[in-house]
Amino acid sequence: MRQKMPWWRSIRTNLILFLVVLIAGSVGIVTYQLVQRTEQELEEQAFDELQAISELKRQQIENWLQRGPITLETVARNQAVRGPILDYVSEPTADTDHQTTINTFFSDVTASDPIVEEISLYTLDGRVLASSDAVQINKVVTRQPYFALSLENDTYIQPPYFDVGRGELTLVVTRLLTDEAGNAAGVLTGRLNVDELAAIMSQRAGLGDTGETYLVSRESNYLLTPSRLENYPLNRAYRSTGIDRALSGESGSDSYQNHYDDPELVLGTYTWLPELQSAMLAEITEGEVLANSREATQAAIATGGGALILASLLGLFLATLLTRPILQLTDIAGEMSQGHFDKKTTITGASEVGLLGRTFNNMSERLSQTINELDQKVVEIETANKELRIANARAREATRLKSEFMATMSHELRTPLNAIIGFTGIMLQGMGGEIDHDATHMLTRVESNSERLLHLINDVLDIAKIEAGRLDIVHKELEIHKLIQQWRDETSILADNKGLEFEMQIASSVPVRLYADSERLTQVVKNLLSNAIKFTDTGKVTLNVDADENQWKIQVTDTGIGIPPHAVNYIFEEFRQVDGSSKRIYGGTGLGLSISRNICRMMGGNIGVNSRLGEGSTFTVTLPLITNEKLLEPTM
Amino acid sequence: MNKIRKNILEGWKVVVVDDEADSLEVATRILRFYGANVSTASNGREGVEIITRTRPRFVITDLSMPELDGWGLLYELRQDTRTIDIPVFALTAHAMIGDRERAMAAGFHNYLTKPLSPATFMEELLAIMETVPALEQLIQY
Repeated sequence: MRQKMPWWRSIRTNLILFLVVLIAGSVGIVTYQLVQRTEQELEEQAFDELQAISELKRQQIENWLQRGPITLETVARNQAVRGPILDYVSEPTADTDHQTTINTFFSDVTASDPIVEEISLYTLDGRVLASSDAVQINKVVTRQPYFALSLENDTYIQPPYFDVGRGELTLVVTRLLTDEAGNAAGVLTGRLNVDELAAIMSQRAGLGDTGETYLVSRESNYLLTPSRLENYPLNRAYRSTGIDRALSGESGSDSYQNHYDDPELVLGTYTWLPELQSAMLAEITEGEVLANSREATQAAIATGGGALILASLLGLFLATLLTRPILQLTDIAGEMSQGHFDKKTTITGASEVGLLGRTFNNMSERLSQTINELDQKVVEIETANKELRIANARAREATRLKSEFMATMSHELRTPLNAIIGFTGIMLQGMGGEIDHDATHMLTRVESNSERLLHLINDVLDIAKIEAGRLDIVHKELEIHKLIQQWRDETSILADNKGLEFEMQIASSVPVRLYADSERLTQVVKNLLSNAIKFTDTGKVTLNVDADENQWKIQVTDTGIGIPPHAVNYIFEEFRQVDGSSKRIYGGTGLGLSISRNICRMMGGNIGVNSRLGEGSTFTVTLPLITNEKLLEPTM
Repeated sequence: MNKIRKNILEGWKVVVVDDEADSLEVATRILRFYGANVSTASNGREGVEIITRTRPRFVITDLSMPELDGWGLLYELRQDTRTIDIPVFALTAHAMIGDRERAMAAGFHNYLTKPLSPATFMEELLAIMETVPALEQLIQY
């Protein structure tokens, strides 16, 4: 079975995510750059346009401004009216005919020329003598802003101002009149038709939906726009970056917040018009300029979205293509782990995945084969094991039977032997009546051979018990000095018989009381002592007992025949003596040392020998020192 | 052994119980050699009967026997006021090491080890007789 995995771990998801991120990233970057560039270009374009519009309107304004002075010049130079004017100026009250002639002329000019709305004539002291508009006659213009300058300049253009009397924006041009002698005689003034200026400003070509051009004055804070012409006088100062810069004499382009109460970001061109003492601004909202760019952005986003969907589909397709074999392999591997090897992958083709599929099938086949072989092997091994177990059980049973047989046989052998020894002893002790010397000798031989036989039987019984694991070691607290004394008592007679010295040394470090199996220990030590006496003809036998913190040692040293080096290795093995001949000379079964070693090991100790041929031997029994019952291991 | 007086058991009634005839005879011959008045039995049941009847000074009995073994014999003797005080020595086989401890624990006064050695038997017997105060005072060296 396929294991459930978190969706975010799957290759498919990861591949799709990877493609989506990759494409979304690149589309995003490209779109962003595209939009940036588009916007920049659009803004540059807008600025160019605004610049061109500003330049055009500036020229139009300049042209328009030239036409006022030209009209006045034409009037001043007109011979028909020049005479009457000069006469009338020199003598203002003399002839009203002159006034009528002049008025009519002025009216004719204004009627034919749309630029100049009103033409008037005033004296050097500022009294209006004649006008195309009769209402103006006899008014005094000394308080008008242009009056002083009109006397000092031949031609003067008064920048637009708000005429309080008229209640509207006013633009005036003046022309100083001189008499034949060249002296200043009076002033012609022409009030220009501001509608014309408004018309120039209201031309909307190239300004789109939100674009506008307008004029802002420096002094009187008027704002001249087509839409707002009527709203004078103005209650507040109109301020924006563009207005401020233009009013300080600069010209240029920038994007900034416009002057409205509710300001908008605009692209603007600002121009200082010295003749009008005004700033001309051409502005269009950034929003409108970039509207196209927004479209481009939307188009790019739409394209990107499309690409994303495409990428996702592609990712899905690729991922499915890639993961399907893997999932199939996973499924089959899962089946294999359950022990089913019959399924094969259907992945084909020359690609790496196809190769993987084929390799996988091969592996599966090999694995299946191997497992079959292994199963067979396991069966074989189990059969072999079973046979081994049976054989082992049989062997154990045979050993047990052998040991039992040995035990029984020993008993059966011992009983008649005991009888022989007993009766021989009775006869030798004279308990059965007098016997002669010869018979005594023979009975002695019977006795010693019987005892040898008994000894042999006892040893064989011990070996059988050791092999059967029935030789029990029973540790008991004992007074070791007494035990040693007993060993001495029981063996010194043998040494005495051979004329050997018998020495005994007990180190003071040997505890008075300790735990040991006295029976078995006695068996071992007496075996060593009797061996030592047996193999020593002259000199002495020494019994040494020593102890340290953890163990105690019993050493039996003799000055006997010694053991050749090669024999040291096998002297503790069963039925081994130094050589065959020694058996005959010295007697013994060859089992004593083997039994001793087994007993020592069962008591947790060991036995070893040091010997020099011809000089003697030292057998050392090493045992763990147990002075406290608690130290007894339960197995002992 | 030469030191031991030949008639040292003169007047002593002794019972030996053993199912092995040879072993029984060896013991009997040695004891008789030293003057003892020996009665024998070849199993525990017989032994109890003879002991109760003859009231010996001590009993030597084998442990492993048919009918009633040595342990059973001891038990029976201890149940009867007539025989409750009679010292009983066990005969334990050399190989049966555990028997010696068990014998002492069961209430035998002491034990002798089989096979019996005529050369040392009397020495050993006197040694264990000395461990029983009632017998010790009767011994006349």
